[in-house]
Amino acid sequence: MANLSISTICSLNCPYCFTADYLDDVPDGRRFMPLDEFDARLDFLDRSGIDEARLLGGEPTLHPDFPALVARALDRDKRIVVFSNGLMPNASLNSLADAPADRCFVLMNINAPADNGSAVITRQIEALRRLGERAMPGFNIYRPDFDLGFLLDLIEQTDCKPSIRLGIAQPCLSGDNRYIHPKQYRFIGQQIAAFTPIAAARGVTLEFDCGFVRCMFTDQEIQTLHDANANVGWRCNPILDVDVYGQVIQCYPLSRLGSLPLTPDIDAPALRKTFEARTGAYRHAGIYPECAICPFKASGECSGGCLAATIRRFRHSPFELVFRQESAP
Amino acid sequence: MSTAARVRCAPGIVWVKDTGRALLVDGETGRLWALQDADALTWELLSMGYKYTDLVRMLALLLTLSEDETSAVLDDTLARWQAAGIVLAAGDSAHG
Ligand code: SF4
Ligand code: SF4
Repeated sequence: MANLSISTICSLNCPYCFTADYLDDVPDGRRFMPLDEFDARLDFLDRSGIDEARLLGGEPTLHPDFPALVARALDRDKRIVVFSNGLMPNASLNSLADAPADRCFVLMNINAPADNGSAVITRQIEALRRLGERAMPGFNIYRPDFDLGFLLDLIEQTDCKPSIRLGIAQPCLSGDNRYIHPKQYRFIGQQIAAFTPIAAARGVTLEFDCGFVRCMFTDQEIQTLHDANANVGWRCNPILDVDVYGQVIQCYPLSRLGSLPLTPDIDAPALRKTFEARTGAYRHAGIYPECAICPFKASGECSGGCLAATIRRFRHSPFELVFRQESAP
Repeated sequence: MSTAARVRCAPGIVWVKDTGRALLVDGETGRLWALQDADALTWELLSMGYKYTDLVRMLALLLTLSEDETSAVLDDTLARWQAAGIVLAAGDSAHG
């Protein structure tokens, strides 16, 4: 998989946004990917054997040529996946609502009503209603006191896909965005486990994004998740992000580790290999000191949490030691 | 006249204290070292910036060795780490 970033601007300013470092560092100038570069991006997907065009931003639907991008991707037999905050211009919304339902999917990131206000959530509800089964809500947990109940009402009101994609806010390497500290994970896990059967009773399942870890849950809670058909996983599989300039990042939170140019011959496996060579050593650690002796990590069941959170544990110690003095006779 | 040998942490080295080990990564080359037992302890104390004599005293206590034995172990450890590129010779000598 690879994500194509087509916009650096967004209509919201979520405090946990993991593009914070990237947007701080990227040169001013390009707000949108030029339309004439999109075919080259699709060529990259083709030679990488990727049949999904995953569009993100910023807010991707703000791209002035968004409908044309969707049409081009569909013409090239791609399935469209859009990561949106739901505040879509009409033309963009129409292009997605008119796309074949089996080739278009929108993950709509929705914050708690108190965070964004009723005008935002009203527009998100309208967009979800319009997109129906093509869309589902996603929710990023970025503080320990979260409440998912409003999403159940929202799903019932809109007839969107009855699932919630849960994310756990991860730090950029700078730590400048809001995120959940791993010490709070167990508490978060308890709340998710308590919510899961409530959601199941209303026909809603949960899906976990990257960065969740196995030890957030007790064995009994895991059973509860499985009983409710939650799609759980304890993984950190960075999905390449291609930015509006055609530079490839391993994953937005890791953007400070550098990027690689999307050259006409390179494909996704080669890029992934290069990035993994850069960061693979850090994967021996995890987000906790205990990951070093954890059987779930040893067996590969748990990745040890987010690679960005893991790398943030490392530090340089600039010591200097005078260690021997030899006296001349 | 005396000569002071100095070592310093190689600039690209970052590290983390894990359960039972100190994990060192060279952020530039991606090389990895997992230090255990006396090595992990030595690295941790070094990173705290102790002077050589204090370092030897503390390690001697923790490893239950004499200070002379500890000094020999420490010199050997630093030589190994220098060969591995984890620490670099600071390159200056003092004359007096
Ligand atoms: S580094 Fe891994 S867990 Fe963190 S955001 Fe990227 S893919 Fe997700
Ligand atoms: S590897 Fe680390 S994060 Fe994962 S279950 Fe074990 S201790 Fe928890």
